[in-house]
Amino acid sequence: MTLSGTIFWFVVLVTVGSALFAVVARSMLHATLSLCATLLGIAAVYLFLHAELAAAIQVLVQAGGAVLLILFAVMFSSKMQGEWWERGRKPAAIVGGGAIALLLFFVLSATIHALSGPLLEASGGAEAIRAPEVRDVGRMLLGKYMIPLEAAAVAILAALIGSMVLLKKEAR
Amino acid sequence: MLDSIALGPQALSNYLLLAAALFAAGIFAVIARRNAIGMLIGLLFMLNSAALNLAAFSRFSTVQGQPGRLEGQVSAIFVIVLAAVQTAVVLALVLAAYQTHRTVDMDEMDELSH
Repeated sequence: MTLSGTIFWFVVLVTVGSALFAVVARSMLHATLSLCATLLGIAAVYLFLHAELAAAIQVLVQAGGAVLLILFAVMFSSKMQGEWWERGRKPAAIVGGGAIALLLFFVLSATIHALSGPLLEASGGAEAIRAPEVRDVGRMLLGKYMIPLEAAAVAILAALIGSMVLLKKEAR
Repeated sequence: MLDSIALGPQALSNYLLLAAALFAAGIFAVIARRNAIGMLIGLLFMLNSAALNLAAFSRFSTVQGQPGRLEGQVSAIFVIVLAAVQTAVVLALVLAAYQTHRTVDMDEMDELSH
């Protein structure tokens, strides 16, 4: 296996491992930190896909911003509750959730495996083309996808104003 | 299957399997967790797996001489940004519900009005 293949499988292992730990951990702080590790692993996978802008935005916005927000919310709610730990879960929920998740994963992986012949053929020619650059993605964002970009900015503004309205204490 | 393991970052199916595993982990978190913020973590996993799928298909779509169709990367960027924004709104909802119910345990919040 080449060096890039080894690094790729190491990154996949770290990402899936921290994702599984994040959904199982009883302490919310551990879950949040594992979420941060998973998001950074996904950013590394974006780098393998020649999507550098997506990797940078993932690190800045999600592993930086969303994790920070979740960390504040965890610390605030656990300070009020007096504990870090999530209460005990119902075994029916764990069994049902695990069954649904495993079934979904097996169905998806069976589909991917069944289609992997033509998918591998399509990926054979992927190295002969020019790798995409951030310049091309930027040209698309500011050219063809200008309206979705501005709409996303308006959506962010609306979400921030909505969050402030939701958290305003009303006089009772 | 062993040749797709040996190919590693050059096989599309590996990226799709990673996204499928993340999505299954996210579904398990939303169903089995009692804490509202734990469910939010699962929701983030699901959104990120969808964005990873988009970027993977963008990388492996070959157009003659061109670097593939970049719409997948642009869509992945939008999904990432909007997922973080949705996180902010959901956390505002969780904290506002916390001000009423004094708990973030979803099993105890089973009535609409307190």
